[in-house]
Amino acid sequence: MSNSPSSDSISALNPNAKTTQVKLVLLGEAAVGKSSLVMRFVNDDFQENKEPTIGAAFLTQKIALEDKTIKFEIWDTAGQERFHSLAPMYYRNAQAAVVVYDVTKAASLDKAKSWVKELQRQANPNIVIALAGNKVDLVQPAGEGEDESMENGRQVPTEEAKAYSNETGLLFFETSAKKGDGVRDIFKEIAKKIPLEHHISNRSSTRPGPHSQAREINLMQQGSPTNRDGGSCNC
Amino acid sequence: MSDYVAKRLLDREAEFTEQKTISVFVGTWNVNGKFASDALDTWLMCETEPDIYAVGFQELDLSAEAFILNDSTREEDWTRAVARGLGDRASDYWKVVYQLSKVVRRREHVTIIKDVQTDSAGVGIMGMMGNKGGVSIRMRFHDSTLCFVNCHLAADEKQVLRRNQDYLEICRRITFPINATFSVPSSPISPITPIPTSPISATAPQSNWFQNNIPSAMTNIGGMIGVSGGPPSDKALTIFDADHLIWMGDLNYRIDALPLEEIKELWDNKELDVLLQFDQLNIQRRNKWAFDEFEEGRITFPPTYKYDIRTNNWDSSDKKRAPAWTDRILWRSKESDGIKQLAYRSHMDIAQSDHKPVSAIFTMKVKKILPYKYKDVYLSIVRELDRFENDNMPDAKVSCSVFDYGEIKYLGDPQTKTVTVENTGQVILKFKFVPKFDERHICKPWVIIEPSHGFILPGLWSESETIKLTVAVDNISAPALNAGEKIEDILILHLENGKDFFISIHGKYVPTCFANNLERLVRLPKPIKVMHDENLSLLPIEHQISVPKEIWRILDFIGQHGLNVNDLFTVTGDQSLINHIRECLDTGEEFDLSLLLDDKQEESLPTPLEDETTVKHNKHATDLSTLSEKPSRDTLGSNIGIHSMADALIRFLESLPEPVIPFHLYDQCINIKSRPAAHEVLELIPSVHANVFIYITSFLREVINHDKQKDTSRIETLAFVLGSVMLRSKTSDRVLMESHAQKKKEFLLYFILNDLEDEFEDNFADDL
Repeated sequence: MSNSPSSDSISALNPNAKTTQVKLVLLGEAAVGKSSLVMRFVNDDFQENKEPTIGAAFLTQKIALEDKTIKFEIWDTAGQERFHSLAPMYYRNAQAAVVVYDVTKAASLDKAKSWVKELQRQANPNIVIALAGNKVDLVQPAGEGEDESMENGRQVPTEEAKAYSNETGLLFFETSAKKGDGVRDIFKEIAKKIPLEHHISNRSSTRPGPHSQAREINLMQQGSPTNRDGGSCNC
Repeated sequence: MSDYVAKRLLDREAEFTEQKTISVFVGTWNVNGKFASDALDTWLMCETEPDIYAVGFQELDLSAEAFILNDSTREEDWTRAVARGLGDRASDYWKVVYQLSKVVRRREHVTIIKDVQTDSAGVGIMGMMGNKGGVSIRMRFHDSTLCFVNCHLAADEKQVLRRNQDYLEICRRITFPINATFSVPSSPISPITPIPTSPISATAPQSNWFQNNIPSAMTNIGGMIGVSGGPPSDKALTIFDADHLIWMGDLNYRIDALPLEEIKELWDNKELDVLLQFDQLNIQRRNKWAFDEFEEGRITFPPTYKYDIRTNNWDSSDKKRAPAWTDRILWRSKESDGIKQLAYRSHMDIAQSDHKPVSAIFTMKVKKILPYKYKDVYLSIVRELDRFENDNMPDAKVSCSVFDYGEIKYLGDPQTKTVTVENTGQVILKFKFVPKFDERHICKPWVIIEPSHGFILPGLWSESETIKLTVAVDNISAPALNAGEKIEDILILHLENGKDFFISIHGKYVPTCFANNLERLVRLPKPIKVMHDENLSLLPIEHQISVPKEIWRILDFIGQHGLNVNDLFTVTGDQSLINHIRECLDTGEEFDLSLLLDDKQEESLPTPLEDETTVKHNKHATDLSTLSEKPSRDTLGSNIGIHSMADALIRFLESLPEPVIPFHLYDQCINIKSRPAAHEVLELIPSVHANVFIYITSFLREVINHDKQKDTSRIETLAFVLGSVMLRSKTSDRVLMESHAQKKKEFLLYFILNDLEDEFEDNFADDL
């Protein structure tokens, strides 16, 4: 399934349209598919048996909405528990987070919930958090007329995660990095939810990378709002 | 980003634009200051209705007041005349009137179709007082840019150079601000938002024709997209920054060097080519002196100037002006076949001026962006850019991300392992190790990273860098480890503008009683290594002992075996023996007397040859489990075991993170000038420290007591050595330290010498 962006709107598709940079961090237990979600989003690609991320991968990707273009600066973090203490480096100053769990592993949702708690306690208070239940491709659909809980391989019912997300104020998606389902939606919905004003006011203090300050690109200088009233006639 | 996207959009323009052909009427007329009276129907008539009427007038007002007043009456008059001329069709058009501003006070004006931006330039005397100049309107038709210039250049046959200069001035001085949708001058493809087609209803255009001084658009209803100017920016566009440029007006070029009668004769004889050869404008263009960038259609109509008013007769006045093609229409297109001229003519039946109106009909190719195709191309370019950015991010391969250093000992040989970083990206890779969240250092104090930053070339030169990771525990790093911290660290190798790698380091630290706080040592339930191995906790404070057992064992040993040894505390010990002593203190094992004492068991010791090897390669010195590695006292001098024990105490005291006399009392102690004051200070010292101090100083008294010679210089030496390790300053200023050495000694002497004197006295008393 491709991630054709053709459903996006055109009106902001202008070389001079405002581009806002958004630091986004992926968190979640090891082997739930964080890197695969990023790879699907960025390269529309999937790799079986990917090696675990030992570090924090960095990639960028833009998404064009009706009124703005969002440039995601994505930090894909290592999921192994021994690296937990390093996570604040990456979610600090992040405007968005995707917390990932594996729908075929109940324990991974618990871990995701603890990440959500940590983010709500320690990250930017305006952070937009999305919960992504990945690997839905591993779930065999329930037969005709059967309860969803009869799905083979599923350990986290959709309703449970959805209810938790509603309670906690998270965006919620079930995804398959392997097939592409839902992946682009996560980023698009996050992009929609990013408060523009907040972002602008935070620009100067936001460090796109955890350490470098050099990556700050000022796209804001260009492109001024089009004034549609009258010409430059000075009669 | 925007520059790249704009450029790529331009490259791929054909993929998302469709070409349309529009027709454009262009008319120019010098009305000689008259109010409109003639019907303009024949001038404005077209076989097919053009999409745009661009009409330029010159000499709307010849009166002197026109320079000062901003009188729009004449413009309105002529605008109405154009409307009448268009007849029923007028309601199909919107207009824009570019009125001459008070500032410039031109008399030319343009009635044109669709508004984007306007500008004007006066080129008379001082650039402002004259009545000559140019006005221009720039607009977008679909997604192509059109620019119209109407001008009136300097009059008089002789003023060719003046006219050329006027032309250049107008070209230079007419500019348009770049607004958001026009950021790429050569690119007409910037997407725009269609404005609802009809802000002014098509049913009532007439009422809008005469709204004063409000620029509005006059165009075919439908299909037009108007974009108005945004705030001006520093940069400006010229008239040439358009897909199609039309230049009309009274250019005032004459027929050169021919007498009036000859011109008339040549015209009557239809010698058009000869006449055109002498046309000043043609001469300028041929020689590239002016208008050489423009094209002009072939002239087949008679000269448009100068006629007796209300006739088609050449000027019969006294001035007898020679006929000339003063009124012209030229064009310039970015595309080679962007503009086609269908007609170029004059209109003899309109006779109220001394000029005849001229008109031209063009077809122009304009581009229209197809939104859906545009969107696909745009998004694919953005993806291209993303890919480009991600491909140009640095990348690397790190040879290993976990390092196990095995057993790490206090003051053991530094253990070095290497990690190789290979540049697998396409750009120069700059790397550096960075501190963890809220930390100041890139690694724990027991790690040394060499180099901690650098760069690696990409591609053909693809290099790799070998980074040495060395683990060594010294007095600085040991206290935390002895207190239970583990040999565990995660190094963050950061690639500039890119990802981070985590490199884990771990090992098993062997704890030692050296480099511990005294307060901790007195609470050890068992020797430190046993405590760690058995995972025991510290004793509760109320059960702590008064001085660390380790100090007691050392002093007890010296007390038992070494009080008679000369030069105690002044001879350097043997490293391997010191290591043995420390090991015994750590494990609680008994000291190996055969190693430490000069006794009869010497014969059982290994041969000197093996010993030399051992001494040279001190590596395994700490491991004394095999006999072959035991050092020989033959090579080390007599009493070396005792000296090593004394040295071990010195090193132990040196390794304390908080000295026996705590840092905060250091300055006070070294400045004490009397024995009572010295003893008072003792009250301030934490109890365990005070106990240790008293214990050691009383031991020193005992040492001195055993010295038969009562050598005072030896006493001073002892005080000097022990003073320097028990009183330590945080400063590393060597000069200051040297000046303090004496003071430390004096402080210690208050405790050992004065007491000693008492004892001497006692001894004397006993002897007596």
